[in-house]
Amino acid sequence: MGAPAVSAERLASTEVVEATKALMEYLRHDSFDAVMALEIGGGNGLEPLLVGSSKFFDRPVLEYDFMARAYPTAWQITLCAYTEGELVPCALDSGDGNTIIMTRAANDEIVDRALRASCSEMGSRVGMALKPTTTDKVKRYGVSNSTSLAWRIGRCIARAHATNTVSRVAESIIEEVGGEKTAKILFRGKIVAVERRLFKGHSYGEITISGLPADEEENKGAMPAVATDGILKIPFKNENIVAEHIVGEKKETIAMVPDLIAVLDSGSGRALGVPEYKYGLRVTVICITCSPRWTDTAKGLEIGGPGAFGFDVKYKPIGVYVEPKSVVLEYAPQ
Amino acid sequence: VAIIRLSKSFLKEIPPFSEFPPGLTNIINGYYCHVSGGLAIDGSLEAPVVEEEVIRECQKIRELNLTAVVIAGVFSPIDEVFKQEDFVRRIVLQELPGVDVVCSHEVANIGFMERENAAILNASILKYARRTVGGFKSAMNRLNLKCGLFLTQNDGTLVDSAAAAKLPIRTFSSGATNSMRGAAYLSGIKGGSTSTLVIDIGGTTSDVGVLLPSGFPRQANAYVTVAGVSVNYSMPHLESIGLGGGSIVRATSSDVTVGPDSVGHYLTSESLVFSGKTMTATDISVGARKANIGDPSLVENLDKNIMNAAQARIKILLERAIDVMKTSPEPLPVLLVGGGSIIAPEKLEGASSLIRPPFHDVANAVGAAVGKVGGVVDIVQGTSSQTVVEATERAKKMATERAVASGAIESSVTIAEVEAMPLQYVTNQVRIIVKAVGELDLGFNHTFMDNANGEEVFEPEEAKRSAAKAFAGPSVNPMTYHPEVVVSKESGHPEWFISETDLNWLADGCYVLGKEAAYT
Repeated sequence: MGAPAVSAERLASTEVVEATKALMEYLRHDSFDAVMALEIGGGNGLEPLLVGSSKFFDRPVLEYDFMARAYPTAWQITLCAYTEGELVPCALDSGDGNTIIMTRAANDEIVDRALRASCSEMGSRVGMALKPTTTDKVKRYGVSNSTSLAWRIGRCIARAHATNTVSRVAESIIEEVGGEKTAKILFRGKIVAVERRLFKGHSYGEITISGLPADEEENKGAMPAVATDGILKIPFKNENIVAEHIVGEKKETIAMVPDLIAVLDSGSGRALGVPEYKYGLRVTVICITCSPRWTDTAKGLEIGGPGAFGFDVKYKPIGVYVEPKSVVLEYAPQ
Repeated sequence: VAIIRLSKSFLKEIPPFSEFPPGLTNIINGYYCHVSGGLAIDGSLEAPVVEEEVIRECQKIRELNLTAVVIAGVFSPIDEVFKQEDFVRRIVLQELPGVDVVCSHEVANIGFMERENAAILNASILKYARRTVGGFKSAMNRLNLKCGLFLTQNDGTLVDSAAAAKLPIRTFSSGATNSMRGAAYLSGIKGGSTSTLVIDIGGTTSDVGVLLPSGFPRQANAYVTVAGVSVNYSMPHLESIGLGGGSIVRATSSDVTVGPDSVGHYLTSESLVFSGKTMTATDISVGARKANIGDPSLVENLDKNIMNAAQARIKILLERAIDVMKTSPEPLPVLLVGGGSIIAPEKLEGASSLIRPPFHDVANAVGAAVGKVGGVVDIVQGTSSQTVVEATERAKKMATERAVASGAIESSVTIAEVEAMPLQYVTNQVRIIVKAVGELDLGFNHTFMDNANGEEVFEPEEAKRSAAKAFAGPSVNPMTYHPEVVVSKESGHPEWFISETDLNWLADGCYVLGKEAAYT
């Protein structure tokens, strides 16, 4: 939890391991069966690999998470879409000798707010370990194969680099996650404006992407984008919230959370995170349909949909969800 | 180079040089240490610097006879109050008089690893930079030139020689920028219909860049590497390979290699056509009657097989380099410039046409001559009494003024780059970086920090040994790679053992799925 700029300065450290130790101490547990990510998106998706590694606890990591993406707050998880009170007790550790354990909470929402306030005072990056959960809850409320999803997307990028097809990486990611019925290219263009502000530990803002003249693109054989002319505006709160396509006076929201809106750097084929948005970068914007764990319950859409970010639009999925293919099952010895 | 890192609790999991190619690490890494210090993101102290600790480390650096020290503190670019890096620099200079000290905050911005990398590279070439600037000055003295000395920077703007000698890293990719701008100027390209690739072949290396239809070089996107090292400042997007007119050609019974080492500027004494003893890429071109340099009769009897193999090798090296720069397989026009361009073949796979602009062998000089003067402003402003837009306008005005003060013609000044970054959570502070560029006013009365010691002896450099660029590529083939999944004896379930390749892919994939960069 915290500001990406802190990770860019303090580099990777072992706060999550420290937080896990602190929570185990409090709960008087001396081991656990497995560890899993709260969110697969961003650096947090890799943290369980550190905790589970042979260097620390040497336990398996589950192929599940509670988001299949990333969200700015800890209660915006599929677990909270179905249940309540599953976050505490939890532990925070800032890596420089400070640890906090939150033992009780009146609701899920206050947990994040209270801990984020602590986080701000503790250097704006902390490791967090949430209440241990059960296999049953993971199966019923978690999103399966999200580690595989991340691996497959990463492989698309690696393959694009190996075959000099970086300009087609968006297309290959879309094919990999289920094809055009599941995911789409929203827009191609150049970032022409970036507005930012920070408020209570979150990075808010908006980017504007303008289409490029056809002669600046190397576009032969490219998958058509949902929108081509005009501009695309993407407001964000740590994560991209909606994609608004604007032509003249006409404005249409063409994609929104909980579907994933990702901005790819056209030059490297990799993702551009919110802190890296910069004028002049050439980008391809893609959108992937979210897991039904977000849309099965009214509460799921309430905490993960555009309304949770103050946007008064009704969720309209970009396509039909397809479960990512499990790497473990695909490559298991027969 | 010795590196002193300032942070009490962090950084230790990832040592310096973590992302350097091993060969370079061996040459540069003299010593590194972590001492107390560092800031938090709000500018408050993580921990104070402890003078005794720094003095202790200085003793070790002295014992190792290291003469360049990099100081890199966590959040040093926003250190407005404690000035930890400057404080440590004073201690180091006191303890180790005469060493070169590079503070990371003077080299680059937020992003510790990339800033530290940039500072390390800068420190490792300081001596070389001083010698180079000194050499220019003594050359000017010999020619009796009474004028200012400007160097071109990576972005195509000019900087005075004193500033260039302190931050050589900002100038050391300028050659390619100059060549590309020069090539654009000479070929008269303005708004063509496609991008154009530019290959600048010098004596030792070839740089490949992309000219956009606007005639300006494509800038590297968020990720920039110099010699395989990630750094965080703006640069033209380039691929450099160790191939030039002076590249040494070696023939064994089974193979012919070209470069990456070169006779450099000793071409006119060491190469065969100039009665030397080393076979170079230039000799091959002359022998194949594609160029007329030196005495062609000296290479009349070169082995045809070696010539053919060397030419094939040169073609492959260039084709690989242009392929790396393209983002799709469609062929693009290619401009060939630079003194070494005589070694290029008539045709290249992936090029729709090969153009040698007039005076192409001096494109680099032309590009430098049409270089612009820049003014950069990097300030932190409050946003409680003004909007970000107002603050930006103010910074733009200041940048324009600075460009004019540096000798730009006022009416020609345009804003080339604007970046606004919120700085802190609590107090509405925004850091704004603006860069303005304009044409050099030749009538302007420049002031120079002239080196009084203009008679400094300029020692000619030795033949360059250009390090081989790692072409190894990915160690695994992503088209065929299989992750390791085995059935666990303990649980009976299949388990996936994450390899480094898996981890790299997961990191890239997780980043597409959201939020902050994953560091592996």
